[in-house]
Amino acid sequence: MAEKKSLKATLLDPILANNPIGLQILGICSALAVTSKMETAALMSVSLTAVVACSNLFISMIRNVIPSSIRIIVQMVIIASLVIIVDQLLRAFFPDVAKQLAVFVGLIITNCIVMGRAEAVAMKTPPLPSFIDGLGNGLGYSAMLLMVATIREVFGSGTWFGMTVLQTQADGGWYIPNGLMLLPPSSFFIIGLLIWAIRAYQPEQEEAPSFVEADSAKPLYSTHGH
Amino acid sequence: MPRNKESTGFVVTVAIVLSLVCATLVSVAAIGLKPIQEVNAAKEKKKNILMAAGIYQDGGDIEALFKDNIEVAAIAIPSGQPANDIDVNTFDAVKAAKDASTGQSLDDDPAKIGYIANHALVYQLKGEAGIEKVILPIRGYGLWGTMYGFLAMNKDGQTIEGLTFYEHKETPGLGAEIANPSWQATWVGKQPYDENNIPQMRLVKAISPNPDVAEHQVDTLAGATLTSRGVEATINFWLGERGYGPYLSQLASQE
Repeated sequence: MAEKKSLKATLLDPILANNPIGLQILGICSALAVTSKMETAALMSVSLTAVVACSNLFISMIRNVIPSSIRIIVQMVIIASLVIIVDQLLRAFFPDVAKQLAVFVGLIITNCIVMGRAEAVAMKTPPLPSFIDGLGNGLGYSAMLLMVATIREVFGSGTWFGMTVLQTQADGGWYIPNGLMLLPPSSFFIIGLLIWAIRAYQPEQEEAPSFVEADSAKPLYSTHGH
Repeated sequence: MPRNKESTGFVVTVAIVLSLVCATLVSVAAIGLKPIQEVNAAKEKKKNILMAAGIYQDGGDIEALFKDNIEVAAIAIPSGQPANDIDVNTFDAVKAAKDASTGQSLDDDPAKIGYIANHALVYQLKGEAGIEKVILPIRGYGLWGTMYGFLAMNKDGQTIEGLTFYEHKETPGLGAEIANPSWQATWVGKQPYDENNIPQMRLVKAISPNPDVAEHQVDTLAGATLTSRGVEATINFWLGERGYGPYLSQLASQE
């Protein structure tokens, strides 16, 4: 990194100013798939945050001994191991939700946020700032996921974390659930609207940003669609 | 930091050390968490038995519901006679099938399970007037792996009362729809046996308008031909002569 950012900025910037979904448009795939309910979105958020923070930490710890010829494989092995451990934990402690998340926990391996942060930050930053950066990006992803899931669950099912918010007609209330909200395409619209809202609030995000770390990681961002 | 980070020897060393460390961590997690996962799996199985029986309530106490309503019995396969020497708490049909003293290999094997045990556990749903439904463990090969499930039959031995799958490896969104409750619900009320008492369930693209034909038919799963074939073969095998067929006829004749 060219300029030294404070740890607090490293942690908080990705939540709004440099949101991995909102600004960098990464990790969209799982944002579409697991956001129809708060329960799955919350668990996915925690899982991804844990994986990206820990992978950044471990990769940063060994960054000086990783030969550049096998660095991507080394990163993948570390990320994949963390994902398997997270998956095993979920199966043990949250079996029902883990069943709904199904393949998406495994697909954290291919989430561009994780690889992107490993390559862009962890490979050239000491462990603590790397860890904080991973945590911040995980939280940024979580913030977006939880916002989308809130909108989808409230308007799609009339509930939030399973609690009734808008009583649906099927339960004797007045609200007619919007079925589109339960289908994956609705997240496209919601994410699009949220990005619009964020950029209206922070107009400087509108221009194509050129931060230093993006240059080295660009091939990864553009070749993966996740 | 080593002087030559890019030398082949160093690259190989890093790769081996990293693999060993990661493999150890993953193994520790997998083995350490296995007991908890097994408890969950046992609970999931009981939940599916209750679902097949049609008495599962979301959020209900699975153990209590199971204890109050379900009675486990062991039977001999294929005679269907009660097998009192089998301990229902420890019997494992999949393990027993592979042991030559407690199971046998199948030559003609439509459900592609390879081996079948000489005994099976059946779960009887007790009502006020005795057995109301029996829930039968079934398994068969789908596209990617063995599908494990339960088939609930009415005490008349003729009518399907429910079907669930609790463990499978089918493709999410396609074959994995076998676990979809709304598809499973379409099985309820179907009559698998034809006039010769041979199970003839068919998974079809369009259910016949003729009710005599439609009672043997269920919608196939879109985009999952091989999974659907597997389900069809599994149901027909387990309801047939070599599966629970004799047991079900005895059950019906006790009426």
